[in-house]
Amino acid sequence: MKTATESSADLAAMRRPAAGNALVARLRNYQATNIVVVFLVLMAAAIGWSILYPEQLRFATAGNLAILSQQIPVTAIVAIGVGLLMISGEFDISIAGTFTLVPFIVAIASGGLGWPLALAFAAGLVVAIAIGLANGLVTTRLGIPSFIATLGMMFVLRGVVRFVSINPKTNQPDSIAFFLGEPVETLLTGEIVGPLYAQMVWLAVVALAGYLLLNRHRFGNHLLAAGGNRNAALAVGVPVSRVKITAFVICAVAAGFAGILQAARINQIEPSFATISGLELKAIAAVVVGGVSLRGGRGAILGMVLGAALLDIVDNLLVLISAPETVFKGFLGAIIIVAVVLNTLVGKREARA
Amino acid sequence: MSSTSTPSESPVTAGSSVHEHAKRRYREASLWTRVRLHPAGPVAIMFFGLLAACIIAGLVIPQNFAFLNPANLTLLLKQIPNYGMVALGVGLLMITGEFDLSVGSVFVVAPFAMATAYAADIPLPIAILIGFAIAALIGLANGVITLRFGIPSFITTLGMLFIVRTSAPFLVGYARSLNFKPPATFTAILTGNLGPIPAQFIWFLVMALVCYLILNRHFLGNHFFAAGGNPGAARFAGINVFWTKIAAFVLSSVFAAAAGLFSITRLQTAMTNPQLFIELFAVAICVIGGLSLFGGRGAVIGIVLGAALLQLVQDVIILARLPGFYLDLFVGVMIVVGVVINQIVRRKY
Amino acid sequence: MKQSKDNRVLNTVRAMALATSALFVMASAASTEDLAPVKVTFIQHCCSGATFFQPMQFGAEEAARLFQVDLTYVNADGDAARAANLIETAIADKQDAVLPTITVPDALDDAMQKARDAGLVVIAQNIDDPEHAAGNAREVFVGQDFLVSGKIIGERMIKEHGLKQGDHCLLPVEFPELTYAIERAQGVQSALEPAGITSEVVGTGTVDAEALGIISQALLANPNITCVIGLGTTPTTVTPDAAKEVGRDNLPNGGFDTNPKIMENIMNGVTTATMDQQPFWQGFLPVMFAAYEVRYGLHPADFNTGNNLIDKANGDKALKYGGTYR
Repeated sequence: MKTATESSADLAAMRRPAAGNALVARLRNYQATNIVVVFLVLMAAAIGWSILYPEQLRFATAGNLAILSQQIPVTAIVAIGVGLLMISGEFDISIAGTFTLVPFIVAIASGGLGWPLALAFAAGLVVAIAIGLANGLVTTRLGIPSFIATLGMMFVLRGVVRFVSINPKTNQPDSIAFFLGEPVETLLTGEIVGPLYAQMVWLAVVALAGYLLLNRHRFGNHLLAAGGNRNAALAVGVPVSRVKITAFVICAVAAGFAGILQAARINQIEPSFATISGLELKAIAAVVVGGVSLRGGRGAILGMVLGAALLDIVDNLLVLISAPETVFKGFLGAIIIVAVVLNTLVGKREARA
Repeated sequence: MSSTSTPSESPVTAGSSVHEHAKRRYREASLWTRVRLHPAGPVAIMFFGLLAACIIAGLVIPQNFAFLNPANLTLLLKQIPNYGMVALGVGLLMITGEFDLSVGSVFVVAPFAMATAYAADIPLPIAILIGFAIAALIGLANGVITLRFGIPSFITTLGMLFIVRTSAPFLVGYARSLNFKPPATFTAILTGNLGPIPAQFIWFLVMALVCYLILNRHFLGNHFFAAGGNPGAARFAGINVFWTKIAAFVLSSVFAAAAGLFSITRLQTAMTNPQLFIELFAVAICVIGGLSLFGGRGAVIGIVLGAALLQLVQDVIILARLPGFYLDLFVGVMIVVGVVINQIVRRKY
Repeated sequence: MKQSKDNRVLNTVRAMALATSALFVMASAASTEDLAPVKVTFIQHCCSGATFFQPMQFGAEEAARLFQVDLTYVNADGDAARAANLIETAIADKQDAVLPTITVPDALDDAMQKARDAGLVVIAQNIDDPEHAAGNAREVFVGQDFLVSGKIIGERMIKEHGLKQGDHCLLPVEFPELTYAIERAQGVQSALEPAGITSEVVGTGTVDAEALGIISQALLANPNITCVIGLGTTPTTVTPDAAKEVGRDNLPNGGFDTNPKIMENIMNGVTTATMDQQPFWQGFLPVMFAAYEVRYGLHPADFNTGNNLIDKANGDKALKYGGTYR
């Protein structure tokens, strides 16, 4: 990824609370302004249409919102991890493997091996951290592009998932059950009230943690600096490598946790997800749609969350209007391009590299 | 697969005029240093090292490792162009500092269009031209969107990967597979054998030679390196970065279509089935071959050797009877190790 | 929902009769009568552009036309969670019926139960729960049993080529960890193993030319391979070419699915046989069943779309109607 030319002055301006009538300037500087506007417009249109013509579009119904409140958090949590990493100027395209492997490890540890729950989750966490560390170390210490390092990891994890998913009875890979008992199930994916599910709370927690990390903690400054201008960051004493490795670990842990949420929802994990889901590209799409620069150095948590939400909501709307099956992926492609063009046009001043 | 069958290129010449000074320094350095610092040096070392090991193993244990079986060698040559042709185009583009992920879809859709047109009784040359025109248009769209709006080509071509992938099933209404039966001469010219050498491989070398000539013997090559290495300076030097990059985008797309044409001719069938991960393999081959992911650095011979190395590793894994079930795992490790060795060899200067 | 094996056979016969009579009905009545459309969501479990699903979609759309069905045809991209979402979307969208594929045994249980509770007709197609009706809330299943079909092609290869103890089969498949691959491999092995024939699975990916090379290399690496059974479209398509390239032109090979190339190889006697699960029926019948149950309360029944082994003797129509009905 290229280093952006964003100056540290811009960075400082971006995070300094604006005073008085500087609100406009502040909005313009805010990384997620576009996605917020687009998202609000889309939601207003979808909700408005479904209220005016409830027979045509059943979007704003409890049943439909319940689906979204279970799906969006999974995508969004992955996106937050990928987004934080992207702010530091790096990629992770091995996340579909992590997303699949971590719940597999938890399920095997607690089921087959009979470990206590806490230990099983710890095992999953260790695996996620190990993947993140490996990606981070290979990228930073050996100096190879993260796109390549994590591409290698993507293929490796596929093999590992095949290996751990072998069913000894048939000697073939197999999906396994993921059920850790009623209390855990409720904690992870229980229905709270109406269409609101526990996943939304988890998303809120992760997003808040991400926000505090990015905007209220020194680590966030380091992350933005490492992605914005590596040399400048090094010059002012930012431990660039360590910051990036930490970001890789955060990304892997987020992907693993999202995988656990998904597995807990459908009570099962399929090994094929690591291979054909395309989650890595969807997550990158969500993040760039949310206004994070592919070149690093800029981005906001809200943008990542709304970017993920936008993709899932558009997908949902396409199903509701019975769009032909072949347009879904094409639409995804178009949204990616249009959103990034929009982000670039509006934020041209700072985005011009 | 000997070094003489690849386009003759001394390690010294593969820089660009921008790097005249560096080139002079290389000439004074020892052979080892020159190989080491050539963009394709590390991949050459890896490839020929592994090849030597394979030959020795094939001589010592021919029953367990059928590497020197002529059928295996022919097959290996036939496999190299699969990703190799795509990687040539992607590599040229990468040298200009841009990315193309849409090649994975162009590889399917452009040849599918050729087969569809041919099935509709359009003469073969025109049918093929239609396919290439579609590919060129996709490349043009990639380039114009990327450069006009100043967005990363990774994003443009990621979007295009999805759009193009579903375009064929969308336009014909369903997933489809159809016969592609061009005249036997055409099939023989594209995918026959010249003695033990498969025609695809010869075509691959021809295409590599064309790339080499563009890159190293034509002003466009200098523009490619300049546009990728330092676009600002390139503009200052009067190079039209926009059209240079557009040319590279179009070439990348057209090469992917060509690779797809060889594939459907070999199989005599064109299908809309997504051929997953071609784009990622193409990028991996380029980087293993010593191209910089960020542009401005690379040599065609590196792409050729990178493609050869990937197939060689795959061949070794299967011939050595390692579980084919875990092929992905080995390929993943090989990608990372290949790039790491690139770094290590280069860094020791 | 439990039923004995005999009962299921009986139901199959009944369903066939129903299907035939319905075809007559649609020819006469349906075209003139103006019916309120039945809303049906059909969930294909894989992806856009995969040729296997083409006759299925063709069938679903033909049924939708004939029986005034408002059809939403979507795919789950090989993701069970997405399939669950799509089932629940169908409920929220007040569809009359939802037709999922049960790729993973328990992942869709909750969603399907919810759909039944909400009054939707739920018919599974293509892949069933290993425990059949006992495993979840689906009403009936229209499709093929992968295990049985694997066994049939395995047995045919044994019979046709006199495979015996000591023979070794290569089972190439695009992605070995996908459900169809797992079950087809098990089915084939259930025929091979009792005869003392060993086998190995190799992953080929979906890139045709690469798959061709990988299979060729596997044949070179192991000259003891005496037969190849492709477990998916890609390997079945390219295996004869792979055998030819390493000079093993007469290597017994067979596989799964149909396309023009596979059919041509069968008619030329290059490929012994291919298992056809008649995906057209898997698209057509669930949509028709759903329409009739919603409209007239006619209860459907399990329908085995057939373990239709296509060989040289019966392949002419499959060749002729490839791309539409076959």
